[in-house]
Amino acid sequence: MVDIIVCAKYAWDVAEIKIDPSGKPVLEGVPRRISDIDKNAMEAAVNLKEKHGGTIKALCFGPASAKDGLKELLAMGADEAYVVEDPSGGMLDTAATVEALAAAIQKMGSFDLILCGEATTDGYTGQVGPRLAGKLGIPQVTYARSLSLEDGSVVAERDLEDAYITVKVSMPALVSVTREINVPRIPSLMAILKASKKPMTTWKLEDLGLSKEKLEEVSTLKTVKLEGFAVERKRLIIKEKPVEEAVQELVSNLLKEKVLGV
Amino acid sequence: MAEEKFDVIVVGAGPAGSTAAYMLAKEGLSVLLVERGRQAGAKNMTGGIIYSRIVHEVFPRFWEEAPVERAITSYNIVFLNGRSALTLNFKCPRFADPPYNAFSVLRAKFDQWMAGKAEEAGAMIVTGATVDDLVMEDGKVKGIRSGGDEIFADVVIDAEGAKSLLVEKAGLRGDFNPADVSVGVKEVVELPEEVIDERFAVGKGEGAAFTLIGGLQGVVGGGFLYTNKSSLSLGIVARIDSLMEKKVKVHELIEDYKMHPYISRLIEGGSIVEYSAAILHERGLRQVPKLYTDGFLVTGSAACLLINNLFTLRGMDLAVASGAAAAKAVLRAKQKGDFSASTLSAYESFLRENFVLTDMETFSRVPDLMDNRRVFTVYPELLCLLMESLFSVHPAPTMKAFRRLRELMKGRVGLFEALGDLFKVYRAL
Amino acid sequence: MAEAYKGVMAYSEDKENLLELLSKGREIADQLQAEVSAVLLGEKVEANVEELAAYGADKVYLVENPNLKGLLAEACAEALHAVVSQAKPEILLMSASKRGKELAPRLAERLGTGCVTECVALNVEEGQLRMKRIVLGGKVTSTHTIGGRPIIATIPPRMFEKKRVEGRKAEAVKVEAEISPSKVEIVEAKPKAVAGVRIEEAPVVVCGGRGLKQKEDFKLLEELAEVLGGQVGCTRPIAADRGWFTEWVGLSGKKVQPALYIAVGISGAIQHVAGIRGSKIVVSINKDPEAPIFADSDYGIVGDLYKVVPALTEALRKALKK
Ligand SMILES: Cc1cc2nc3c(=O)[nH]c(=O)nc-3n(C[C@H](O)[C@H](O)[C@H](O)COP(=O)(O)OP(=O)(O)OC[C@H]3O[C@@H](n4cnc5c(N)ncnc54)[C@H](O)[C@@H]3O)c2cc1C
Ligand SMILES: Cc1cc2nc3c(=O)[nH]c(=O)nc-3n(C[C@H](O)[C@H](O)[C@H](O)COP(=O)(O)OP(=O)(O)OC[C@H]3O[C@@H](n4cnc5c(N)ncnc54)[C@H](O)[C@@H]3O)c2cc1C
Ligand SMILES: Nc1ncnc2c1ncn2[C@@H]1O[C@H](COP(=O)(O)O)[C@@H](O)[C@H]1O
Repeated sequence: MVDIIVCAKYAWDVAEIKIDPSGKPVLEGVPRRISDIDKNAMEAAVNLKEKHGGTIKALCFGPASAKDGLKELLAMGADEAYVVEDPSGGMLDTAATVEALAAAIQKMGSFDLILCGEATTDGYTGQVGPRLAGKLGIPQVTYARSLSLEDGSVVAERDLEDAYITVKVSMPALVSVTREINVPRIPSLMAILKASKKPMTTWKLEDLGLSKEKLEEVSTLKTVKLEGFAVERKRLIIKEKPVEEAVQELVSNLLKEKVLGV
Repeated sequence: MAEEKFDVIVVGAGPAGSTAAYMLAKEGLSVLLVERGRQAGAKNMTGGIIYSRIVHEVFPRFWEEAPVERAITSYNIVFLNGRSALTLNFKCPRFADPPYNAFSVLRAKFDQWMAGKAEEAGAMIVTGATVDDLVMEDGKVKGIRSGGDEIFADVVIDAEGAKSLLVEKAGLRGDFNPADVSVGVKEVVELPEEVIDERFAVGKGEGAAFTLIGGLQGVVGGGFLYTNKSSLSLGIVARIDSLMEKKVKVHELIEDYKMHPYISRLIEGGSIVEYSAAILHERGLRQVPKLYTDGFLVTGSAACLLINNLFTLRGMDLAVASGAAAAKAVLRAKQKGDFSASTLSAYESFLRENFVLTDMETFSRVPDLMDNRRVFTVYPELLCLLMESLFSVHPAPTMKAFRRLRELMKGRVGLFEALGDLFKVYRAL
Repeated sequence: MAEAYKGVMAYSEDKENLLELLSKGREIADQLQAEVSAVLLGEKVEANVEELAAYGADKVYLVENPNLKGLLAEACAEALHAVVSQAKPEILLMSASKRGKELAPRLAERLGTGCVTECVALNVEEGQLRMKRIVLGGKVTSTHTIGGRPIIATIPPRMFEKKRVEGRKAEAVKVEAEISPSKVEIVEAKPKAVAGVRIEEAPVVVCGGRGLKQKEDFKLLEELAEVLGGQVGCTRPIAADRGWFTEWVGLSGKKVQPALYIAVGISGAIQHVAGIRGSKIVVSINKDPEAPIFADSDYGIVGDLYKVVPALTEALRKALKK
């Protein structure tokens, strides 16, 4: 039996973000979805539960609409989902996020394992996992590309730049996974229907003994500028020409660009 | 696994499906609405014009909350040849007053809004799941299959859109013939709101619609251009048989189109943000399958409910109307506790009462008219040439218009043929 | 309170990277008129204090403790916490290697301060450190300041050049720290065969994606790269899923800026494109005319890479008379 908490962010769908003519990203109207790698974390949790039994709770600090995203995690196999409402509209830093998540985890009761993604698709800081482990005073295993339980301990293979390192750690512990650890399942219609009956809890900060002011105090990071990348490419695409001809055209263009033989 | 059963399962959260789900859920039936896209609208063509009358009937004053783009007040019919264009412009300020005539909408947003209404009314919406089959017992539809799951219902409403598989599975129709199918492509071109207001000479919140005839290298089909709030929807609908015959691809046609001086001026400075393609059934009434069987109803594009009368392309309003009619039929069946074909046949009478089938009858001759290539090739060309000669002043003596026209017709179309065509147009419209 | 914190400190488990961080730290410290220090952690540490001084360090803090074996994050965070509490640096620069990226936030949490990971630029403006990073899948850069102390920033290896200046001196300081034994036990370590070349510096990069069916097919790309005098790279799934290579190009991998970048059988997900933004000319070869990579390309050929690439190699060979 293993009781798992999966931390998941309801992130901006980065593919839908546009840059306005002044170079500012337009976030208004951009849809959100559960951050990609957090679904890998969820899948890893389901795999462990299928093998060892136990419970899975999904937890998100985010907008009230995060419920829509968490439904997908319930359909994948979480037993319960929790949203802690962020009154700031995503303006707080990772320290504040962790403050909120830790308070929620305390209230949720005991756990054996917390699973996170290696990083989120939008913010991409990779901070929340290690910070949360630090805050809760539990060991951390990051960049896990495999995960199993052996005699009550977590065994994971970490993917670092220069080596694969297999580690073993007793629980409770926090593990962050890579997107290569598994392929998240696509829930079936029946699973989605069942998920609609699973419990979903929404907490306000006050329910956790926190407040917006308290989080703002913890959050010392300020964003002074956001600039979109404006790389204009020529987009001269050659289609439906015989290979030889297409290649010749490309080579002569590259010669003109003076990027050959430099 | 415990058996899941609903009163109604609706397949597809397009305008037809969401309307049916909304009306049924509102009456307290348990409704499951299944959509294969990640959200409603995710898989839908990017934009279009929706005629408001019926939408207002189902969702009163919908324009106050629905994500509509612009109220269409300027209609344009444009005949194109290779270099020039003849435009008929109709401006109607009255169309800017409630209940309006039509709005341009972006489907991704609009469909989501409609599905949201169904959900608010109590329908259960599942997105990201595809229905792949019907559960049948003794020729009666009992439910749906998706992945390995079977889910049951008293009635299944098919609102899958033009590519419907369930119509065939229910045994209501066979395969299509390429002459009966068209493909549509559409691009969304972003432009600042003010540029659109100015370029199309429309007031705030108002918009223009263009129907383009000709200029497609002789392919049977037409084009359209609609103004959204801060983008344009530009598209082409072309018959598959004609594309095969001329050996051209639709995306080439649309590229060509964008170079035409008339169109390039309208889209100038815009950036293309979306491209999509879909099929349509334009053969009108003749193509409509049987609309119901035991425990099963077909709505919207799945039932080939579409009107293309050369000037307007209407599918969404028919989809909404058919969704509403289907809902009414199901409510009646629920009351009787009988979901057999004979009770559900009320659907067809409702479709007659609420204009869908009658309008389709009105325009039932249009598809044949479209078989006549001259409509898309010779006449637009002739009209443009005629205008060119009317307006250009040469050193040579000027001819009278009609004589000039006869001259231009030579080698293109005979006088009697042309008169015959004119009569056909008259009868069809 | 913030005033009590002064100077720039650098820590990295990697020696080369530490020198880069020190050099950058020196530059920042000079603007702030402050000192630079380096930290070395380990079960046993041997410090080449002179070398660290040459790259900018005024002080070198050493923590030796048996519990630092394997440099696990929990233990390193405790050690650095002890050093920071004693030295009170205003800014702490760390590596954005995976080891650094898991250590920095844990330490930041312990110190109750802010942290910016994977900075691509650091500047001092009006006495404040501004840190720039890439966000939103690579479409946007965001610039941050941090109110807490110390300011923690992680920096990708080879982001900044190391600069040696002879004749500087540094003082070594031993720090005693209580470090609890880590609960994490290393069972096995399988080193990866590390590539010798630095793709970041190549003038031409030919990158392959999932369009290549088997590892052997990368030969085609190698031949093309050879004619052009370039290096071969790949997308994340090729390296991380299939394990054909150890590193990849993109948001979570290497950022390249060659004169010519050629994408072969790559769809063009923004996370990949985030790594090629600095390229002068981008060329792509993909059989799908709708592949997003074409929108991020200067030139493209829609076609089967197995036909296009050999033909291109041949044509280039002729054009470049090789
Ligand atoms: C190029 C083009 C331009 C058009 N322009 C206009 C216009 O300007 N005005 C107008 O009124 N009409 C227009 N139409 C027609 C209009 O799009 C359709 O008539 C209308 O969308 C039909 O609505 P529907 O609800 O029946 O189907 P759709 O809108 O097609 O919706 C069907 C839904 O079902 C889902 N689905 C399909 N199969 C399954 C399955 N097996 N399981 C689960 N979900 C499924 C789909 O993802 C989709 O969301 C245009 C069509 C095209 C192709
Ligand atoms: C947080 C996060 C970080 C990430 N970081 C990175 C990163 O740093 N780098 C990275 O690369 N990815 C990264 N990814 C993954 C990224 O989102 C994409 O999944 C990945 O880049 C896709 O790789 P691909 O283009 O090789 O494969 P695919 O997307 O599968 O594309 C393969 C392409 O090959 C084409 N093709 C197939 N056969 C042929 C043929 N015979 N001839 C020509 N063309 C052919 C296909 O049309 C297709 O377009 C990250 C993802 C996340 C969520
Ligand atoms: N707002 C949040 N709510 C829940 N979990 C989060 C949140 N933000 C980040 N996480 C978790 O922390 C991981 C790393 O996120 P990040 O530090 O934002 O890159 C994610 O993959 C999630 O598992």
